[in-house]
Amino acid sequence: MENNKSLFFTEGEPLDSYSLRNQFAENMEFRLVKDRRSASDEDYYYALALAVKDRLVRKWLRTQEVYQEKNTKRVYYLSLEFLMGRLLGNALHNMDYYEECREIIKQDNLVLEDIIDLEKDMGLGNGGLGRLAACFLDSMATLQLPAFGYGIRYEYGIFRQDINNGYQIEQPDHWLAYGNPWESFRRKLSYRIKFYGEVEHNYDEKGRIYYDWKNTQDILAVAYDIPIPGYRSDTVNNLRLWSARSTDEFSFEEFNKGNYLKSVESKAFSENISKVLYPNDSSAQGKKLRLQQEYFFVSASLQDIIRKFKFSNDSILKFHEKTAIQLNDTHPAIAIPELMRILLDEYMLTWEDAWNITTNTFSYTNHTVVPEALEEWSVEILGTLLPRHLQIIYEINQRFLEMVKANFTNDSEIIRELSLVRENPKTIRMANLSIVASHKVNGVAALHTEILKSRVFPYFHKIFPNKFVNVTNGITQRRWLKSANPLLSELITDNIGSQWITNLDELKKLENLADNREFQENWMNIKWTNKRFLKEYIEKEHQIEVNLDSVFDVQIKRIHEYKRQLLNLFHVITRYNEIKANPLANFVPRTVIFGGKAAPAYTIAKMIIKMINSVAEIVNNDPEVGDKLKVVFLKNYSVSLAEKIIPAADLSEQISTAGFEASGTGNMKFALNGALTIGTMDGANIEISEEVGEDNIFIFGLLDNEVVELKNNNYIPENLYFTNPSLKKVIDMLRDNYFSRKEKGIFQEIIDGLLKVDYYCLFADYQSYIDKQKEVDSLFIDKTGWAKKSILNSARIGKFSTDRSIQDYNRLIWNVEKIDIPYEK
Amino acid sequence: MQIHIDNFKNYKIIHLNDSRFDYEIASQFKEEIMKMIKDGSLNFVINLKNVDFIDSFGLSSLVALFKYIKGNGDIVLCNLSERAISLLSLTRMDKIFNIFESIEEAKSFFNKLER
Repeated sequence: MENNKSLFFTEGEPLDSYSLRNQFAENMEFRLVKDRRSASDEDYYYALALAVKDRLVRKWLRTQEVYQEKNTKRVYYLSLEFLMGRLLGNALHNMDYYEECREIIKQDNLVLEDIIDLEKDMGLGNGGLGRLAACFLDSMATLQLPAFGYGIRYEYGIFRQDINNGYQIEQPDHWLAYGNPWESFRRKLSYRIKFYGEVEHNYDEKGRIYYDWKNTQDILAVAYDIPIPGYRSDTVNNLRLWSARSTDEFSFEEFNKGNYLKSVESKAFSENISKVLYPNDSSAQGKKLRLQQEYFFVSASLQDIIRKFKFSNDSILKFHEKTAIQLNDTHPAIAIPELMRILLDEYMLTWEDAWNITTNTFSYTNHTVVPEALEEWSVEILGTLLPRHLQIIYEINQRFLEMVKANFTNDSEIIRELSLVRENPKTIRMANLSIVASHKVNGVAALHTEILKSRVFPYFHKIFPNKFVNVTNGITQRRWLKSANPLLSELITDNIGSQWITNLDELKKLENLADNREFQENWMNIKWTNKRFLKEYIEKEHQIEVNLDSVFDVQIKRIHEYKRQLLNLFHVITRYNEIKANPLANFVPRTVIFGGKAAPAYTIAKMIIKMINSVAEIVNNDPEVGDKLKVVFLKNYSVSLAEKIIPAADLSEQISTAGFEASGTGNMKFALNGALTIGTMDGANIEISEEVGEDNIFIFGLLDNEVVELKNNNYIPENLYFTNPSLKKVIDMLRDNYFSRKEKGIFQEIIDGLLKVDYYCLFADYQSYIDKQKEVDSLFIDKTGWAKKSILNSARIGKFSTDRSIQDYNRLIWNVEKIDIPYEK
Repeated sequence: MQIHIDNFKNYKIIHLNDSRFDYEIASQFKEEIMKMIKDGSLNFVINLKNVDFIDSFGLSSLVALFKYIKGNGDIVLCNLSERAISLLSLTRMDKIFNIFESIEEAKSFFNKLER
């Protein structure tokens, strides 16, 4: 059919003539088949989201068309996680259509904010790594870069967290239950993904060896696309998420044999692959299904990328000139042997040519310095599931180690450390593979990159001195200030203009207002208002009344020992003891707010949640304490909840053991919204401190080298316990069931671990942390002093925009050109 | 005394006499009104005629009052300076409270309710 002659195409007829209101009504009636009586709240959201998405479609199509026409180099961001949060509000802000839309639907007595609040979070990630990917997409589109995101369309995202008797309960997150108005199913776009089978080698007529991967079990990857609008630009990039389908809807053979259930079994098996996001814990390591997920999305993405490349290019030898692929951690690293396999076995290139293309295509972002967290796959699992890939990895390893021996060293210790294969037990080290096969490797904060070079991969750094670069993480101000904190954005824009929305360094202009009394008052009144909103949320969801005039002291992030929620809790208990010892004294009131999920198999992290809730129970119900101290654990932390909490925070807790947090991005979001940070010299805290000035941040604790030194010098935490009476009291209360009278002994394991080992140095940093908290109190009473520092934190946080991160990636690694999308209305 | 009270049949008028509605006044204000609420009063007109500056403690005390009454009565504000109006709008408090230009308008709000 000659589509372009069809009358069904609108041919650029302006959508404005067809008002949003009409479209909204039509969606309700014709797409959702609902009328005034039967429409639910979700229907209102769905109908509006569809109408808004329709307004992106032309630019979306046009952007993809221009990318194809121009045939310039593109960047592909491969990530197993995209923690997108909600899309409606963000799309409206980026389209600059928010106010107009609000007014339009007001005519039908609808409140835009209420509708936005109905959207289920797209929670396809665990934490920082996934949220970073989402912020990057926003910046890449805003900077008009020809960029594509690739990931998995999990049917179940990160679990929903309930709290029962203080314990975390995991519930499935069926975010697609009501459908997803933002996605477009690409009916015809599917790729075959092979697993298992065996490899045969043969010789062609010229006597060259070639490999045949056969007798595989195949499944299909089908595509769902999500539009990513840039801010006030005509660029709408694409996020493509893969969903698994059976190659045969069901087996006719089995069906004909009369076995109906068995006939659909293979379908169920295949579709399991994109069923659920693995929570970030040790249980994911070594799980065959996880490796299947990784290969599944990587193979589909590479097939898609090559298809697009071939559309405008003849020779595969130029692939890397048109393609940059960024690996978000090692989760997509199986793409390396996959691209080699395609080039060697399907395009019949020589090893040298294939290797040249591969290494010039890939770059790798490392996200952790903790050796145990580096991904490894057992040779047995990898060899069974992807036999050809294992062969290729072995050959990469052999050639690499030969090169090392020829040019660098014969030291067997070093060779063993560099090897892609660990010998006992036999595993493939995905980080080593990624380093060898990428042209650039980056850490995500200055300290992190230095630790990678000096401590984690020192020999790789010696061999490839120019390979390691730093790109400090960032956050998108469009979501984390403009959309999450409309009151503050308005105040900022009224005073310094709106340039900050696309150039965060513009916030520097606020420095001139930091001493202006009227501006300070407005600034703090907005903070107060955001606190009031959060107070209402806490009262509604958790029935805890909090004091609006207290310091809102917030720690929201995954629950992990190294992030040290426990240290925060030690401060709470210390404070509680001080109030109890002197109930009539004046205390600067505190509301300590926690939020975060613990990986389901991480029992200590789950017990930390229980401990927080147990302490909260006693503290919050002690009449002597009153509103001088409250403890709140907000359940089911998510992107959208973070957007409610962060604008209301006075104090941001970034207290990981130095040397353990790669970067952190929560720290940046809080400072952007005028919270002061209490933190260690870890991750991006160091750079934040450099930017905002050490007078405007509360830094405490051991430095990363001091942590190493302490451990090397036989650290005995028990000594600190015996010599610090207030610490001793905290530990004794926890051990002696002061907070767990009905469940005696539940915290014993945690306490024993601290007294004996204290791996994360809580005892070592305790006093310095408590002292610093006293400084927080003193400053909080000085309203003017606090306001000034709060303003300066926002003013000086410009460096931490993902716009800057993406520009760094592009300059140091990708080298793609910005593309204008000429869009005619 | 920085707070002066006029009693009417179904409401009370609270006059704030100081130009600043800050920490000091706010605690006294909250204490006084809580007493009246406990004694059965639920409707209040807060006359802010003399108030030039409100800080977050002042705002918090109004919110606390509002929460305490919980829809069983009404709090209305009147005689707000321009600065106070812009503050209430900035903090979205204008959506919570009935605001009137003059005492007379505030009084007639309660008188109407009575009828």
